[in-house]
Amino acid sequence: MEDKNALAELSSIKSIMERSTRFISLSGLSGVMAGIYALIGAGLAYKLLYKAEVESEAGIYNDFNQNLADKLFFIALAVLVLSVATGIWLTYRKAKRKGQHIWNQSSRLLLANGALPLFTGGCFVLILLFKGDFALIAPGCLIFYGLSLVAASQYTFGDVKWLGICEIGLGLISTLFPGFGLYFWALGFGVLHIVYGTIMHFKYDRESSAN
Amino acid sequence: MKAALTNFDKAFENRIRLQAMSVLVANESYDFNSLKDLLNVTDGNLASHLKALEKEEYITVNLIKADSPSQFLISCI
Repeated sequence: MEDKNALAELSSIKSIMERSTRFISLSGLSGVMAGIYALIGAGLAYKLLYKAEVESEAGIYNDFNQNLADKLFFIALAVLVLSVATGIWLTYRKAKRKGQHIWNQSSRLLLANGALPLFTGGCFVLILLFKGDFALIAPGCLIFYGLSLVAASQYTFGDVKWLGICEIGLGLISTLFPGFGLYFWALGFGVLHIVYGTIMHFKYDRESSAN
Repeated sequence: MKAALTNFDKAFENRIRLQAMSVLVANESYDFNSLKDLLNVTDGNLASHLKALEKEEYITVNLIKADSPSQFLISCI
């Protein structure tokens, strides 16, 4: 009987140590929602680009002016804001359900570690936009986002690391295909998020209350 | 399987102290309020356990902000 107690005690200690370092209230569902927003945004962007196509003697080309770039920027910004807001809300709900605080040492470290690559990537992409260097924007977004995920994964679920690595890989591949940025963007921010979000949702979100 | 814990330091005989030390081993340091939430204890309860551990020189407790709410940072030695 003592042994059973000892084992239970050990596993509770292990779970406390795990919980102290990792932010486990992160909601997998928020990944799915972010993916959906991204796909909708990509669809809107595709329509915008399609409308901007002009037929001339040289063939069909994109009248890619600053106005178009601004509209695309606002779509991307809207997707980002919606994704973050939904993510925070769903994570808050999950934390509440588990009786945890959303703001604790591990979530602080998560943000602190993920913030630098993300912020760097944001600046990088904005500079590219400003300069009119559109070819590297999608790769830049994907690569820096992936790096930020890998850095943050240390302080939350380890699965996030693999999402980050996939995003980095996708970003590197997209550098080889400059004309197809939107497709890679849709793949990385849309499809991958839905896939990983679903996996994490079934793995972590639906723990039984007996836990 | 009986583990003979002959060298088990009596300072850890209390469950909460053992848990607190486990957390501090897993992290370089931990702030008081997060530790309180994690172990699900009251302010006073945790404070008295930490005092005991500090007396045994297993941890250090540092005040990181002198304003309110003041924050204490606990570190493993």
